[in-house]
Amino acid sequence: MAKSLADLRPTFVIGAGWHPFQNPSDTHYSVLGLTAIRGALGDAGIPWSEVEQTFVGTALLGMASGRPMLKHLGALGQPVVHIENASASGSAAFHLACAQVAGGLSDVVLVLGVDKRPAGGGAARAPAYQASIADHAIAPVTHFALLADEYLHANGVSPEDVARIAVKNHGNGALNPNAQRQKARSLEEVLNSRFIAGSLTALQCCPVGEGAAAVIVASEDAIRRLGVAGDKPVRIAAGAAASERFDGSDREITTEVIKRALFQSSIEAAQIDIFETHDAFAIEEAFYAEAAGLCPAGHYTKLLQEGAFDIGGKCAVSPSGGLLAMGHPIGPTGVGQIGEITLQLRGQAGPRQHQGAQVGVASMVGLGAVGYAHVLVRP
Amino acid sequence: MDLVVERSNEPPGLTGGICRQCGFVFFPYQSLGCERCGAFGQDLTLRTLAASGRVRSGVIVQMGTAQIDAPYGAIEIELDDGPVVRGLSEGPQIVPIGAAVVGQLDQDSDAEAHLRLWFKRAEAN
Repeated sequence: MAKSLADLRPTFVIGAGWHPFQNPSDTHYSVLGLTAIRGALGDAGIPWSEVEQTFVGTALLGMASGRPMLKHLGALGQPVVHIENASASGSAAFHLACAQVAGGLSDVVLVLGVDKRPAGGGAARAPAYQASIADHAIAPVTHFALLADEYLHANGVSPEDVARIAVKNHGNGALNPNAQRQKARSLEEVLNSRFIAGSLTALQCCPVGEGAAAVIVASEDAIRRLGVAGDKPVRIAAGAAASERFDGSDREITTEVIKRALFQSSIEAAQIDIFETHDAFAIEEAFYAEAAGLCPAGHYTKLLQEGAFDIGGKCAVSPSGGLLAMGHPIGPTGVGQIGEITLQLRGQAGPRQHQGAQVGVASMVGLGAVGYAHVLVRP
Repeated sequence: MDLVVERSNEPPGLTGGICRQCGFVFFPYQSLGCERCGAFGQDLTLRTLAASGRVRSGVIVQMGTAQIDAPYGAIEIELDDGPVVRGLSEGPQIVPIGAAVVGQLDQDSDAEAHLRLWFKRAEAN
């Protein structure tokens, strides 16, 4: 019978680093990536020569982006593999890296998420075999605006209620030096920003950007051998992955992977202290937080208004600023979530610290659709 | 294969399909494989679906795409024949959730002169 991550040998995140997520620029992706990697290695206190394999999560860079960048750390011949899973590219890379270490094939691996938009272009998707009647008119923002309309109607939720999700996340982003958007916003500013589709305004949509995030995944053997400082390791308790079923959606995928990951780790939803998710559009945070079991269906915005999901509330949701404020450069996004949860569980998140955090869940979906969930716990 | 077919005295038809193995009704038609059971080829047969149904959600879109200028109305419809599709609504205007809608065909304004499908409230007919 197949095993889960939780059945295999213990695995830990021992280092995290970023190049800040930023507006599109002339910065070469190698600069983005190397900055994040050196940050993660420095955080872990280990040299590049100890990394046995690298998993690169990237959706936009094109073929063979990894080695031309990694060689500048020292071209030592370690294997490198690139993973593309749309928005979940970084999460997929992390998932596979965990399996690599937990399964005993490596003791120390690097997970890097790095992306920037190609010159003059956007994110290209593989062409559909058969288009439908309005594909040309349904951009992702319109897709989620339609879902938001259905949710608002079904649950008696107002557009202002959803906009408060963006207010919270912009406020968290203002505390995060790695965030693309570091400006707190009032409810009026969010509501009065440019309308995009339905009730979704520009400040309720993630920005287009670039950046990098890196984490080091290691075994207990490696932690002992390398003398990693005691305050660094955060345990990867569980991981789960899925793709969309014929009658499902992003919400069903999220429900499934989080349920499986919590079951693997013997943790209840009520124990989650930190939740990072795919809030590319503000309404999504409500969808996935409810799918995670943080509150009953339809209740997210009501509890949000009571402060339940603030830093310092019952469960800090998107303490990094989420995709809305931290940004969504695509490849780095899921890796950045792991890095944020690592800082939180170590007690090293500075002004964003959610006191006493013991359990963090990183939830991600990607076009396809695919979904991932990882549970991290304070050792 | 055209996604939309004109029919006299009826709403336009949508070129969908049905799986002979499991009965799954889908749109648009394809023979690559059934999303429910994987049957393919001759197990997937054409079925013309009526371009009519009930609105599940609807929004006005303020930011156009490369192929369409804003503003326009986008709606999600559960077709009377089963599948859920997204389409353009008459307008742009909001069509209430739960409203019955029916497809209309226009000659598109572009040089290729193909038929454009959009949905209007059935009560307006």
